[in-house]
Amino acid sequence: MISIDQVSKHKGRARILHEVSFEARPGRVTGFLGPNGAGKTSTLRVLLGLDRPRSGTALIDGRPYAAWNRPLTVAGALLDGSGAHRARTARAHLRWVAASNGLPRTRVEEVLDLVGLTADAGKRAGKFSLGMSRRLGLATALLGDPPVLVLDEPVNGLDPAGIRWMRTFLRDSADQGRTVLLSSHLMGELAEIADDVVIIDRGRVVARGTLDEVTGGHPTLEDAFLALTAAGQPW
Amino acid sequence: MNAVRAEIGKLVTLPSLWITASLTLAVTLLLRVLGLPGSVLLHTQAGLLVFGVLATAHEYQGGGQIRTTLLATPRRLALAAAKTVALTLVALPVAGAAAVLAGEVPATPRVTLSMLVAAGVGGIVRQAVAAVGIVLTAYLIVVPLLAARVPASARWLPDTAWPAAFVWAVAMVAAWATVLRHRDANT
Repeated sequence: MISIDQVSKHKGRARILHEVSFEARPGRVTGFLGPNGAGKTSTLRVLLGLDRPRSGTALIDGRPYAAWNRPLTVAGALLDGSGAHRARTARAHLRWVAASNGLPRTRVEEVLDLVGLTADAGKRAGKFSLGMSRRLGLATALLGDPPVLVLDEPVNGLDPAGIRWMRTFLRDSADQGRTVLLSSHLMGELAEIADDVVIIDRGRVVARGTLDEVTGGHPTLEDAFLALTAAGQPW
Repeated sequence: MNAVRAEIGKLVTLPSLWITASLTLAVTLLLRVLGLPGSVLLHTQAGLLVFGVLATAHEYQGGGQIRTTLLATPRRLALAAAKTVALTLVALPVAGAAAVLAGEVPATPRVTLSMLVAAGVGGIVRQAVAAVGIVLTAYLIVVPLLAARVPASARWLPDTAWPAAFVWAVAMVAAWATVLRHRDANT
């Protein structure tokens, strides 16, 4: 369960998040949708304790992410890039991350197998293709077998087979009772997978609800999105 | 404890650190064998300072590892403490080996502390090249110059007396921990 309540954040003088509030519930895929620069990544970074909000709270199962002991067992995050130093091998990367949260080394081999990187585990992360980097990032997120998954543009850089795989994986994760929150600017992709949708534009939540509620009287989610956000304004 | 183990794992699996350490030890031995007058460590300490900088600044190099680090250990002061303990445990044998090869064993604590100062600068500056520039300028130019021109300053310089070296290390690590605690995790 993710609860974001009245989160505001400034960068310099500019207000990049304005009282952002929404929830993501267990057993459902929540799509966090918005044009580039709308505040999706900033919101996720506040949720994960990477950035500080000026005001408001962002909780995972009732506590801030940073307040959990062994946080990787509470939430897994996939952000931009692999999150691994380019000179380190995938296996060495996963091993230090596992050690940081007291997870067994056997778990490293399990997640490598899960994302299909076992054969490449001895390669340096810097040698990985974009798709392999995403899979290494996902393996890192899954190390602690967390009940909550937070993913920023998870299908970026994936080939069609990778996109299909990711979609199935996230659907299965939600069906197993996990809370899945993913951001995207790709409406079509999100409409295929999301149960609930939150739309953010210029730092404000402009719509939230089930996919049907948000799509409302519009023919598609894309039409709803363009009607609700500045992305729909002709330039 | 978990965080310390993770940080040690990071340091020992980072190729650039072991290349730096190996080269430093090799050059130290070479200079000793050549029988240069004066302290060998005075020159090869540069390699140890680079080692200290990389130990923290590598987090910010390509790949965005710092995010993974902060997600794994989100309590920033605990993270800084774990990094300091891990670096001390890894730096001590490297500094000790360099001191032994240079024939200057008593310099081991002072040189180890200078590596912690370098790590503090690396963590604050976050750009390895810039941090190396600052640290090398400070230790190889500013400190010797001040010590020579203003002898009274010697006991306060980070690289001349070891009580001062200790104070500088504590101050730089504390400054870095404070910065780490308060800023957003850029990159």
